[in-house]
Amino acid sequence: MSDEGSPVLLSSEIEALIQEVLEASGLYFAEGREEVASELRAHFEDGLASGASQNELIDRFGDPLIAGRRIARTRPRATRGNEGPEGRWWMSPREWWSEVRRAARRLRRAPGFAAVVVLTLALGVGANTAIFTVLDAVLLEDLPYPDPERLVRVYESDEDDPTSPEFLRAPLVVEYMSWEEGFGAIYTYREIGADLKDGDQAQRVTVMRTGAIS
Amino acid sequence: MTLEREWMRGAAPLAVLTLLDRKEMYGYELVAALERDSGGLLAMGQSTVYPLLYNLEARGHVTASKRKAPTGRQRKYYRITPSGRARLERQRSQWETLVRAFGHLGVTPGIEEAAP
Repeated sequence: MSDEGSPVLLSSEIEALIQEVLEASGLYFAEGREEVASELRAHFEDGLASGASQNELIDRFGDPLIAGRRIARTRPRATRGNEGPEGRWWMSPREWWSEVRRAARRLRRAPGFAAVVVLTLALGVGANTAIFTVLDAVLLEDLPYPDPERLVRVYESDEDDPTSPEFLRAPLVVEYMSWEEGFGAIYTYREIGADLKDGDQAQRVTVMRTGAIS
Repeated sequence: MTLEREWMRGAAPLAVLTLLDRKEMYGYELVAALERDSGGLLAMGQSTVYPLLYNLEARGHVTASKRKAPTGRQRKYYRITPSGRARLERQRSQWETLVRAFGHLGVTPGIEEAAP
């Protein structure tokens, strides 16, 4: 007989039996798995405290598989609407790890479903990575120039129509470079047509002529 | 002597509700009372008591609350509800009728007179 209120250490055989019941029940954390485990531990603690031997208790407990299956049929209805044991919405690290292992075991038992899950995740991650790579290169990554935050694009516009930008003319570019407190460097480009030849075959293409004036 | 499964299926909920009608109990206390008060006949696989309790709880025939047992340990106490009491009365009445009928049939000679 143990002292009043003192914890009773359960043997590994009893813990294994409780785990068997829980496994057979198929209960998840949110369905009260830990609550059932706690009640079964209490059952054995009380049995040992009453003077029964471990083997006697295990023998009188009955078939853990049958108990687990019966719990599976009844327990979810009892806990429907609860978020966790005693209405908790959070899990302890031990409970969380237990759920992860449980999920892994279930996936192993259903390889087809596991393959679909893994494939879906792989496609999702792949698509997201591709989209982010493009966004990063186009919008987020700095332009390949020194001090890209100082980079500006300069247009020329007509006084009569200031809203429509025009390319700068070459003399203006030269003039801007002569300003003492003007631009640190000027890079120019111009869109032109060109002929791309491969043997007797030729194709008209659009190319950019670029230049730098420092 | 042991009861066959079908008999146990009908008898166990009635026995559990009868015991909980006397006072609220926690799991092992109930298991021990079932065994003791039935002269060992209802010493069923103890594990089956818990699914039975969860089933009764799901149907609203019992409610559960946690508090300290006399041993000082935290235990889940089960208490019969008005719905459970109503079910108990219905089942008790049916059992009495069945026992009387079996007495008349001669299946259980002597029970007819003993039954209230």
